[in-house]
Amino acid sequence: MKKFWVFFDRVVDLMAILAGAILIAITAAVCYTIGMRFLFTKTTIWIIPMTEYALLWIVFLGTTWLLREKGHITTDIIYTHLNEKRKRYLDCVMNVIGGLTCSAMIFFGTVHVLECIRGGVTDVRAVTVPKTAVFIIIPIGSILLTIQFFRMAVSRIKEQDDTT
Amino acid sequence: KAETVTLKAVTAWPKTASEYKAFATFTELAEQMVARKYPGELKIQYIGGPEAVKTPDQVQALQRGMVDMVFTTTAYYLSVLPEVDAIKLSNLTPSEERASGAWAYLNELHEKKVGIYYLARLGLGTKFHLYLKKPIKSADLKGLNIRVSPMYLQAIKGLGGNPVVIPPTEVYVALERNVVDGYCWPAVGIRDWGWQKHTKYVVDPGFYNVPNPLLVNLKIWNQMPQKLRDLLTEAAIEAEKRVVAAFDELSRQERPMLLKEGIQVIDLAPAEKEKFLKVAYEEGWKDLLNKSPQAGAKLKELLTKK
Amino acid sequence: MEWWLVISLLFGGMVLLILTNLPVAFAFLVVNLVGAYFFLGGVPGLISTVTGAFTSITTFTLLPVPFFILMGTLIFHSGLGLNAVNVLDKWLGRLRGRLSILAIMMGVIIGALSGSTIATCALLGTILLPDMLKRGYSKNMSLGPLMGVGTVDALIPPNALTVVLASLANIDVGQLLIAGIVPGVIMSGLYLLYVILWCRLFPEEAPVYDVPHIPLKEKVMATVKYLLPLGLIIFMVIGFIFLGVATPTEAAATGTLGSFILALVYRRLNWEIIKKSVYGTLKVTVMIFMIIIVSNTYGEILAFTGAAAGMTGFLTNLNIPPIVILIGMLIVVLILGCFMETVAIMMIAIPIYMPVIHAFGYNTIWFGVLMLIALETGLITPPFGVTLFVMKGVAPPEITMADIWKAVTPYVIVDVLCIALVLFMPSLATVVPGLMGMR
Ligand code: NA
Ligand code: NA
Repeated sequence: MKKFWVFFDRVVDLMAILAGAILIAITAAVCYTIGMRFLFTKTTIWIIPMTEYALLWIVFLGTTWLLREKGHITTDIIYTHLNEKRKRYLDCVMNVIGGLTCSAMIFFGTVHVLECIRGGVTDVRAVTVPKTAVFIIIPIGSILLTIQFFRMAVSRIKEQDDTT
Repeated sequence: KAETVTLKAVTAWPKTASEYKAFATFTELAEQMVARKYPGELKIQYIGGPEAVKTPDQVQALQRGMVDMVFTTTAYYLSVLPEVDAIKLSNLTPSEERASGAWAYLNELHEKKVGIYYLARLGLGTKFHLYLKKPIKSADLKGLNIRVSPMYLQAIKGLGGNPVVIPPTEVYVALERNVVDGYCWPAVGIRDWGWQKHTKYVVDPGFYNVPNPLLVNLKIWNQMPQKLRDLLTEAAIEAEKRVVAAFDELSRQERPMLLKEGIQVIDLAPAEKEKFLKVAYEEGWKDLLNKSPQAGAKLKELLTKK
Repeated sequence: MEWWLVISLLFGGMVLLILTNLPVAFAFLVVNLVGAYFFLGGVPGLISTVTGAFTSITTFTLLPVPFFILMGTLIFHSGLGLNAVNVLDKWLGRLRGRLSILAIMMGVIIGALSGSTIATCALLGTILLPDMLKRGYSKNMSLGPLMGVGTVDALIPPNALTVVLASLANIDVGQLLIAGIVPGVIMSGLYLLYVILWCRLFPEEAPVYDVPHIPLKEKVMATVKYLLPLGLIIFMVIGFIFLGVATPTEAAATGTLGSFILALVYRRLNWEIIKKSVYGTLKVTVMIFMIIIVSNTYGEILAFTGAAAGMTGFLTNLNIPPIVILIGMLIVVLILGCFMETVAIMMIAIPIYMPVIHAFGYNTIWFGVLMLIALETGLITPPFGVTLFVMKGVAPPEITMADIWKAVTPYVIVDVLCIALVLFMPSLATVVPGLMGMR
């Protein structure tokens, strides 16, 4: 099991690194289009749609990493006033709910991927690409989110066992 | 006692947009007919515009049955049915399309490929125009940055222009600061965005069509009693005529308004005009024939005036 | 179902869930999925909530968000920002609350360059907040001004939201853009006034620290060395827009390039700084985009059920004088702003409002400015305000959401005051378009 988590963390880290690389790449790409247009009246037409898709990839590549690093915003007004036991209990329940929600994202995301493959659905912008190629990151990202949520729920239970 | 059939409808545009008037023309007609013939048996419930279902997702929501009726433009569902791109290249009115058999063929494509009934084309009688900051003398856009949407990207490329992809919300500043030298837009509507302030020329001829289909979920359509389907078809045929007439009138009124704003008309020489249109349409058909050779060829035949 | 019941269920469910310490984005997600199942027709609605994520995020208009944040984190981690603040600090001398004052001043300047309120806030937050806390400023005097200037940004052109509003409401874009200048300046003036007065009353909240006397020559040298070069970044944003090199959205990318170049020139660009900056940017961007995704769907559910329209319709149809109805409309926008995303509110309210405004014969530019301030106030009103989340994202972990809510309250009040000023002195909104010969 321990091996699995090492592997999982490695995957999550790599995805975050990829998101960072994409961020740098789109910055460069947009600067490049601007320069080429201004200096040579030339546009590489696929760059802008790709930067738009990149935004979605950045989110779903980075979201599990952010969840693990506790970077998603929470409202802790009531939570901070609970005692340790209740905090653990609440965390556990909410993490399970989060995990279930994300697994719903996997399910309905996959349903849509199948819809897209069956109907040959594309995304039409300045260039036309198969929608699945971009959309697929949503179910993939959701799989990792689900695992991370359940992992956090279980680790909270374990803490409880350790203290009692 | 008859049950009430309720159709949940969404539109690609907010209620304030001029395109919405075409939809309203249809619903008013349908409502009057229902009240006269089968009171209380049919209701078109307007759910909203992009605030209720995002514009690019509306046709897929229709396919899934989340809504029953959608009024949109072809560009927003080329992703699921690329063949409808042909409608922008039609040089027939919606009524003529019914007569030529184009409507029937388009409906067949809708029914078979995406499970949608192609009720009507409430497609404004307006054409697209090229709006510029710098004058041109011929059908050559070399050295000009033109803001495009995928709809006329190929045409602009074919005419030698450099296509620039920016959203409509950025066009104002892009024009003001000469990031782009021009853009394409329908004959009516540039004043809604304030672009007339930084537009100097409008180029004649206009080209392409504004193709706005009114779609119904096929399953819902087939479940409806025949008499209601007939009623909706009748309303659709009448609305198509009225919308074309109304927007023809709007286009005519628009020109003097643009002149008043100081925009000059570049009326290309007849030979250049011909070349301009030839390139625009040839590029358009070429693009479509690439994507769907068979249906494309048939549509080209059905949608071109002989 | 009745509109008030739908709103109570969706709003109640959301509030309940975000109080459980489940991340806000996921709390919304739970409400969205349950709401979609019941209000958007079961499974088709559930699929739509997932596909909505694709449509709402893959848009060019959101590009400036990561770019401006990367620009901010680079300036921050490379130390360029701290240098600039130090220089301005030297000039301001022994002034009480000088960092808060500085924040507001810089907010106005950067607001005039940026079209993204979120980005402005993130940039200033990353640059100024650590220094403020280091100097012992209270949360009220540090977090507050940084969030307040976000609303000023939207009133000072250029701004993407203004353009969206103008096009939805059929108001002249050019006029609405410049109409915001006077109210924007007044608003920042009120912020300054508040900060200065508060520092007088509660001096301990913004400790004055001794500044050694600095000779003029040193001040000038420091300015030339550390402050003026930052002009390169500003030039690569506003200058490029002005020269027609880039659109406001694209210019965010060139601005980022500018900060890379500058960090390189100052020999502050190393692997460690790049890594820190990129991770910092990812953190805030992913967090904001997740919230944009879910709040988009949330707004759609409200719109789809007719609940939002029902509430607005109910309030506008009461049989009372026009000005009261107008005030009611703005209050509705403020209330919606507490729990919805700006563009979604516009899309719901504008189609209902505009016919009423035309019926009353009100000046649409004036109304547009009022709407703009009300909408932008929504960015800082708890519990749901994107600016609040940005601040939480850039602030150190010991700053709680409650701290942020408390700190922002005075600025919400100033914003409301500003709405009242424009409401009763319409010329504040119409004078500049008038001078430009537009009316
Ligand atoms: Na601004
Ligand atoms: Na808010």
